[in-house]
Amino acid sequence: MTSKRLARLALLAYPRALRASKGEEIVGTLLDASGTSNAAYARELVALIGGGLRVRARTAGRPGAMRLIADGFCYAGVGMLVLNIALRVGERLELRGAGADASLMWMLLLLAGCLSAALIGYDRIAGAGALLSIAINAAQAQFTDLQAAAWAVPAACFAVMLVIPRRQPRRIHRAAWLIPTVALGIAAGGRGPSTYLVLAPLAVVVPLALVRLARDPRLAIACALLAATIAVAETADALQSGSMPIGLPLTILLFTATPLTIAFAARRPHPQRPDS
Amino acid sequence: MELRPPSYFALAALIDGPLHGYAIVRRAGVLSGGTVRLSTGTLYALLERALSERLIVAGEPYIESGRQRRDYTLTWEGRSALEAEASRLASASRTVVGRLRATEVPA
Repeated sequence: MTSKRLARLALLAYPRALRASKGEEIVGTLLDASGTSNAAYARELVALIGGGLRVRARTAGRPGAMRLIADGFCYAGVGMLVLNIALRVGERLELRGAGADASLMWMLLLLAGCLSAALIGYDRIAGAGALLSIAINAAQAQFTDLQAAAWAVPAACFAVMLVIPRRQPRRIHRAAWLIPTVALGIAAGGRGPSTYLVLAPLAVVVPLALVRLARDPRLAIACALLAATIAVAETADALQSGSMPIGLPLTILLFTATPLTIAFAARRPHPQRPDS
Repeated sequence: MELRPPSYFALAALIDGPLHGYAIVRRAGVLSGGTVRLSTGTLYALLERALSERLIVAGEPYIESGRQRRDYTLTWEGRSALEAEASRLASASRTVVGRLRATEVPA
């Protein structure tokens, strides 16, 4: 067996993709580095196998496409909890003294509990609680088909939080993000044009997600899911109140963007570890 | 991020311009005064890592003297990582030298 063939055999220690793209280059470098010395050649072969196994070990530690997509759904779930809480705080303020029922307060507490759990690092608890909140909503109100559909995406996100939670260290101080969430609700305050203020954070998050898309698509997936949910909810409300559903073209556009973003993430697994 | 000596000298080999794998091995040996002798296995493991961390970028393959080669170029992030590590080493060296001088016993 020639020295080149033996080196190619040792290359089996490397992942297939790397072998295909750089196999010949690595063999060439090895032959140059060994020169005419058999001892150097033997040392190089042993080191080549060690190096290949190290590359393999690191590649195996990378998050797969499924993990990235699941994280995107979980981030979207957290975003939906933030928007939901901010909207309900505004609603509560508007109804103050005008016969606000206790159920709104209980719902607010349930959602705040869910968001705190997700922020601290207990996605399963957050997902279960949020699914419960959807069930309570469904039991209390008569939804049109489209309104029910608007809950489908959040339900999917919360289900992912419950079944495939993010892997992250628990940090109790992150629950402090509840404060800006409530402040946002107070600033937006109730119904009317100012309600759209709750969407203000998206003006920061969406460009950030686009900038990071090639390196880390999780935030972009979350934004696509959030935008699709908002668009469907807006369209459902517009249809129910009998006005022109101006959100409909936007809804179609965003529903197209969501699977595209997810497909992009699936095609390009990112080399960084989550939360590194 | 701390760079270990093989990565430190392999990246340092690229400061003056792009080099292919074997040229990096030789240049790292010269720069380290012969203390770092990169094997091909170590070199490509650390190059893959540096590529994934965007410290370097890889060029297109080409043939030279019957061998397939590819040049690697240091990125801005790679230069910053090298600079940070060089400062860390310099600071560590200053601290120890300072303490040694301060406690020197006159012969």
